[in-house]
Amino acid sequence: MKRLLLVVATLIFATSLIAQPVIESAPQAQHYSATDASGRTVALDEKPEKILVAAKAALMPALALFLFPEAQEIEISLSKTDQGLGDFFSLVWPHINPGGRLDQNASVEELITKQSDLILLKATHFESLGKKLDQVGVKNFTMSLETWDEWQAELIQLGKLLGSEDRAHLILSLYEERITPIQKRVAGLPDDRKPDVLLLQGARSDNAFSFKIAPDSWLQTWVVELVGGNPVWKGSNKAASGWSVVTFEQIATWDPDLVVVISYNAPASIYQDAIYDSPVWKELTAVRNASVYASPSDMMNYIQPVASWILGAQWLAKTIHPELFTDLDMDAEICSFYTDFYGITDSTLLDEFVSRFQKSTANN
Amino acid sequence: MNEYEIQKRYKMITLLVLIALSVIFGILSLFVGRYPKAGFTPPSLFYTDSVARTILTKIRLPRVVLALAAGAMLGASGFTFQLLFSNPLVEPGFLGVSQGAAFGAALMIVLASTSSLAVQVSAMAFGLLGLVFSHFLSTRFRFGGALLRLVLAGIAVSAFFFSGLGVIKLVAEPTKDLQDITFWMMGGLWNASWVSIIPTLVVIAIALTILYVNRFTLNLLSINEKTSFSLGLNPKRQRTMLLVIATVGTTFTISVTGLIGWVGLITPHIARKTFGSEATHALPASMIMGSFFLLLCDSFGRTILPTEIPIGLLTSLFGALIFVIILSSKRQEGKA
Amino acid sequence: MTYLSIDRLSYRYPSGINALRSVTLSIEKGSSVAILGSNGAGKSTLLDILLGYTSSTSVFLYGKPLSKYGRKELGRLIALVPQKEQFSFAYTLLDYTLFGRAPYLSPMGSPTSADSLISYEALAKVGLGGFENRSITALSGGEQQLLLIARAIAQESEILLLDEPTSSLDPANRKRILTLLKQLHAEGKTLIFTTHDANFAYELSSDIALLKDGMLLDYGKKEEVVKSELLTILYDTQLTVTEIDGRTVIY
Repeated sequence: MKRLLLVVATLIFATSLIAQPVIESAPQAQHYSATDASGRTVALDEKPEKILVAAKAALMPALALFLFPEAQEIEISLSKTDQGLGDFFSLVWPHINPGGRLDQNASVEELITKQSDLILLKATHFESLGKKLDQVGVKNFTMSLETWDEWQAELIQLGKLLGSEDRAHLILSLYEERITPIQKRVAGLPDDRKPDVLLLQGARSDNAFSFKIAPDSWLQTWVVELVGGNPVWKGSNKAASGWSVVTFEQIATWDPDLVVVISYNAPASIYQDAIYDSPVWKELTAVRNASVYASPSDMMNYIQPVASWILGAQWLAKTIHPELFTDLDMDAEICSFYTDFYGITDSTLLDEFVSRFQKSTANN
Repeated sequence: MNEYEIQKRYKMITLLVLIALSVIFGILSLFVGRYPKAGFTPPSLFYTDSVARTILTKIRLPRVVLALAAGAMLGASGFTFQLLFSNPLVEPGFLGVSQGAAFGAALMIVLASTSSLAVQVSAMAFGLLGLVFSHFLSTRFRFGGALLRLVLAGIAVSAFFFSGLGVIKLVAEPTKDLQDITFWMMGGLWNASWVSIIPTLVVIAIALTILYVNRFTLNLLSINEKTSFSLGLNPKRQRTMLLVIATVGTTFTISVTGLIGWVGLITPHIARKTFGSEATHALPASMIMGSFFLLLCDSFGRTILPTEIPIGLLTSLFGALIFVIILSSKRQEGKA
Repeated sequence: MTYLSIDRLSYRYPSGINALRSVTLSIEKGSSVAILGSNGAGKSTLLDILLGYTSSTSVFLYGKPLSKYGRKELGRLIALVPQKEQFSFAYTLLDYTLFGRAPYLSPMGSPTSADSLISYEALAKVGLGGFENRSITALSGGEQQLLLIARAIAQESEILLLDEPTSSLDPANRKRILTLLKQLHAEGKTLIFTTHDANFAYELSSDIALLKDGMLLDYGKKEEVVKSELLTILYDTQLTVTEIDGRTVIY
C-alpha cells in the first residue's frame, strides 16, 4: 500500500512538472498569428516593429497594410510601389522609408539585410522568396488579394497577425457599406438592361495601339458584373494567366455599348484619344455614342485589386447606370474613402486625390 | 528546244501558278476572321455593313499584305543567307540578325521615342551588328569546322540579344507601357495598318527586287571565292552587298512584326527540293512559299481564337515539324 | 606581241614570308605550260596571280596589265579548274556547268538556251554526257574533277588554269583527265597547270617551268628543261630522266 502511494505520488508530481509549462504556455497563446495566402501559419512573438513590404506588386499588400492605423507606428520599408502614375505612400506619409526604396527585383539576401520583423509579399513570390526566407528563419507573410473574396479573407488574417482583428472587421464593414447600395440598385435589372461593357488595357508599340482583355477570374471582370454590366469578353481569354491581346475584329463583333480603357502606367486618356481618332473604330457603337471612357485614377488606377477598387466600382456603376446613381458624388466618395479607410483628413491631400481623379476622367 | 529549256519553262509555269495561288489565297483570307463571327465572312456583308467594310480595308487587307510581304522577305533572306554562307542550315535568326533587330527596336522605344523611323533604323543597326558579331566570333572560335563555328557564333549572338530583350522588359516594364515583350520575342501581325506598314513594304520591295535580279550571282557566291572570282565576279563586294540588303530587309520587317523565326530556314529547303538548288527558280520559289506559309499561319491564328496568338509560336510549331521531316528524309542535300 | 607574260614578279605574303622572287617568263598562245615544283615552292601563289585573284602589277596579257581588264572580260579569257570544290547544295551537273557561262550573261540575267547548248556539249566532251540531271553530290572524285573541267570548257576561255588536276585521282581517272586535257590543248587552248607529278607534267606540257623556293630554276621547252641534274636540284632528291619504249620517264 505504501509503495502504491509512493508510485502514485511520483506520477502526480512528475505529471505536474510537465503540465506546468504546458498550462503556463496557454495564456501566452500567440496573439500575433495568422494563416497566409500560401496556407502557412505565421506567428510572431510580439507586435512587429519593422515590416518590409517587398518585391513586385508590393503595392497591393502595402495598401492592405496601411488600412491598419498601427502601420503608422511601425517602421515600414517598401519596395517600389509607383505603377507609373505616382507614389501614394510618399505623398501621404513622406516620412516613411527615408533610406530609399528597395528594388522590385531585390534578391533574398537583400531582403534579409533589412532585418525586418516581418516581410509582406504577394503570394506569387511564395516559391521564389517566401520559402527561402522561411529557411533562414525570417518571418514572412503572403497575400494574394486578387479577388474581393480574397481581400475579405486575407484582411482578417492580416488583422490577426497585427493583433488588430477588430480593425479588419471594421474595414470590411466599410466596404460593405459601399458595396451594398450598388448591389441593391442593380439587383433587379433584367439582362437587356445590363449594357455590354468592354474593359481594355491599352499597350503602345511604335505608332500602333493594341488592346488586351482580362482573365475571367480577375477582379476586373467581376467588378463589371457587380455594377450591373455585362462583360462581353468573359469566356474569351483562354490564357487565364493574364491580359491577352484581342483582335479588333473580335471587338467589332462584340460591338459593346461601352468601352472603358485602362492603363496602369500611363494616363488612360491616351488610349481614349487613340480610339476616338482611329478611322477603324469610328463605326463602332461605343464610339458613335461617345461612350468610350478613360478609367479613373488618382495615384493609381482604380480598376485593379487595390484597396481603392471600391472607388472604381462606384465610378463604373455611375458610368454604366447614370440614372440609377445620380446621388453618387465621386468627389465626396473619394474623400470619404481616404478618410474612413486611411484616416487621411488633411484637405490638401484629399484635394490632390480629387483633382487627379478629375483630370484622369476629364475627357469622358 | 532541249531538255533544259523544257524544264525551265516548266519551272516558270509552276512559279506563276504558285504566285496565282498566293494571290487567290490572299484574297480568300480577306474573307476569314472573327467578324461577325469566327470563320467565314459572307461577301454580301461587305456591301451592307460599313463596319465590315472598314475591317476589310483597314484591318484585314493591310494585315494580309504584310503577311505576304514579310513572308516573302523572310523566305528570300533565309535563302540568301544559306547561299552566301554556303550552308543550308542558316537563317537570319541563327546569326543574331533577327534577335538584334528585335532588341534594337525595343531598346529605341524604351530609351527614346516611339517614332517609326527611329525604331526601324535602330532595328536595322542592331540587326547588322548581330551579323557582324556572328561573323567576327566565328573567326575567333577554335572548335569545329567553318560551318559549325558560324552556327555556334550565331547561337551565342542570338542568345545575347534575346536575353537583352528580357533585360529591357525587366528594367522598363514598370514605367513604360512597352508592347508586351512577347510581341518582340514571338512576333505578331496585329499592328498592321497602312500607315505602319508602308515604309516597310517599300523597303521589302526594293530588297526583294535586288535579290531577285542577282539570283544567278547568288549561286556563284555559294562556291568559294576564288572560283567565283574566276567566273567574273567581284566576290567580296557582291557578297557584302547582298548580305546587307538581305539583312536590312529582314530587320525592317522585324521592326514591324517582331521576331518571326523558322520561315527563313524552312522555305528555302522546300523551295530547293521542289525546284532544284539553282537559285534562278529556287529563290523566287522561296519568296512565294514564305508568303504562303506566313499567310497561312496568320490567317489561322487570327481566326481560331478571339485573342491574338503570337505568330512566331505558329511558325516555330509548324516549322520545327517540317524541319525534323526534312532532316530525317533520305534524300539529303549537301553535307552538314 | 607577247601573249601572257610575267615580268620580274616578286610576291610576299602578308605575314612577310617571300613566296615568289623575281619570276620572269613568257607564255605563248596555245602552249601547255607545267609549273613543276615540290610543295611550298610557290606554285599555287603563282597560279593565283596568273588568275588575277592575287593582284600584281607584273602580269600582262596581250601586253595589258591584268588589273586593267574588267572582271567579266577577264573571265572570258581565263578559266580556273580548282583542285577541289565543296558541294554544299545539290545542283545538277548541267546547272553547275552553266555557272561557267557567268562571264557572258547580262548583269541581271540568267542562262539562255544557247548557254545551255554550250554546257551540254561541255559535259559530253568530258564524258559526263547523259548525267546532266544528276546531283553533283553523287559524283566520285574523278567525276568531280571532270565536272570542274566541263565548267571551264563552258567558259569558252582562251586560257585554262588548272591547280593540281590529278593529285587525288587514281590511275584510270588520271588517264582520262590527261587525254581530255591533251585534246583541249590540241584544239588551241593555252593550258597552265601546277603539279608535283613530273611524269604528268612531261606528258601534257609543251613547256615546263621549274619552281624552287619561289624562284624560277629553269623555264623552256620540256625536252630541254627536263634533265636529271635539274630535277634532282628541284626535288632535293636523286632523280633520273630516261627513255622507256620511246617515252620519257622520270623516276
